[in-house]
Amino acid sequence: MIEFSNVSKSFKKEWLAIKNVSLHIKKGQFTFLIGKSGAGKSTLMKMIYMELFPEEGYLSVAGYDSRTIKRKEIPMLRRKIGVIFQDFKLLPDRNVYDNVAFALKVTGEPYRNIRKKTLDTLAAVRMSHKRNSYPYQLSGGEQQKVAIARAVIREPFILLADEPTGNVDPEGSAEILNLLYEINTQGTAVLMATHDHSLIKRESADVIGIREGKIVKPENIFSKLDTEEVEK
Amino acid sequence: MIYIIQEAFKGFSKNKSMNFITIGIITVSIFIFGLFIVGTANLMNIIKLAEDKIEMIAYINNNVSNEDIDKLQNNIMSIAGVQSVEFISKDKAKENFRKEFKEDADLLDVFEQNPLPASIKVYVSMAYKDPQSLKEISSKISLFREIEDVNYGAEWVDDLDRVIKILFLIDFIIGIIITLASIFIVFNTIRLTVHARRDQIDIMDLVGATESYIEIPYIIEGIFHGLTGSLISAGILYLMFSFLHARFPDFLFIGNSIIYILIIFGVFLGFTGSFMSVKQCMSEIRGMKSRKIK
Repeated sequence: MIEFSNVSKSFKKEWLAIKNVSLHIKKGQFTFLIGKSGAGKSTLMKMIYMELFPEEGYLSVAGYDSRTIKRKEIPMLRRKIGVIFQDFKLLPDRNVYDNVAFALKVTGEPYRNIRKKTLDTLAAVRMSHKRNSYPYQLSGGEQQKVAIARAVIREPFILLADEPTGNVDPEGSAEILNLLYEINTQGTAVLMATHDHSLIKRESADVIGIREGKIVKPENIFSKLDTEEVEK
Repeated sequence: MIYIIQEAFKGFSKNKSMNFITIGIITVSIFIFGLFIVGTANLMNIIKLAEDKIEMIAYINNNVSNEDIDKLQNNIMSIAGVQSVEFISKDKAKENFRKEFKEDADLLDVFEQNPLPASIKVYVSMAYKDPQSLKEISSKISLFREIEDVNYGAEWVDDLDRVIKILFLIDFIIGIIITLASIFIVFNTIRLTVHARRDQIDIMDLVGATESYIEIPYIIEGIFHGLTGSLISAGILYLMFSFLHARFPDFLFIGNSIIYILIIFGVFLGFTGSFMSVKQCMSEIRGMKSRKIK
């Protein structure tokens, strides 16, 4: 479903953000991508929704190949992928309902479906009661739930969550994680990037470690070999 | 489609102050542009009035028979650039003189005979009213032996020509500056309104909106801004110049054609400004892609 094949990517010359990464994410799988900030988690995610492209190697996502995808096809790919971020990225001048419906409206969903789908999705993330609130009236956890609703309303095959609990209090974090598990049990794959080891409690989840742009065993992300880091 | 229209109008009602400023700036820019066009039109009109005053008079020797004068008129008519001719007899010249110098007209009584020569007034067509052509026509007329002298105020024509050339040059330079300035100002204003909603474009791109879906609401908005701004400025110009025209009838207001030019200019600026801004904004958001894609 998602296949990275020897992918490398650098931002500035000499500094490789991603080094020769090969990995496979299975359909419907819950996967943690764990690593410190700057390890390359976000870069990997951006490659999945084809915001960034590899310099070497290639990846294939839902049948689209990073080497051959055309600009026109990118919106079609993105409709099959949900993405949430640490900073929620909600539109401050729209209420909860409009923020969620926005994803359908701008992708040409028939008008008659929008209301029902939006209300159903808000119910699924338990935010129906706040549908008329504006983002600034919500807590971090609530805002992230709205962002999740917006990300899953088109029923993507995968939900990419980039540090989804980074700006959320512990109680809210637990709720967000539960929501992600729920979404996963309904068949949507989830790829969650985090630096927080303690969040990984689910046994059935895959865990991929990333360190300095390389895939490593999860227990090696804070490797003792890296003496400089230990001192910190 | 419903979304696109909705979104364009939502953008309008939501950012009232932003819209107000944008339309205001467009109005002022187009107003100045309009002032310039009307100014140029009036300048042309003044030049035309001045050129109308250019006249050429060919004085005829005494004792030329009427028959020869008829022939002469036909010959002069056949010169390129001559529109028409008018014969002024000695008596007519005297009459004109009396009319022109009412009090001093008695001067003529000093002479036993009428001292004024008969002449032919030569009307030169507009396109030939430059110093070079006037000189050529006048020297061709001088060749007829019946003609004693040709006068068209050569020095005055030279001066007028120089003034016209300078005025045109100044007008042209001002025109370029004003046109570029209004394009620049309007573009930048629209660019700011688009960039103010960068986040929205970013999210649309993220959730899989196609490029046209992202762009069209902004373009509609840009056209609307341009249209409203140009309508307001055309309205103000219209009122202003109708008032001036009523006071000073020589003052030209070329009516509808100018209004159309202003509206087309405004809509054009609104369209291209928003189109380019949204394209630019999207490529900035997409940023440094590692691979150029088709």
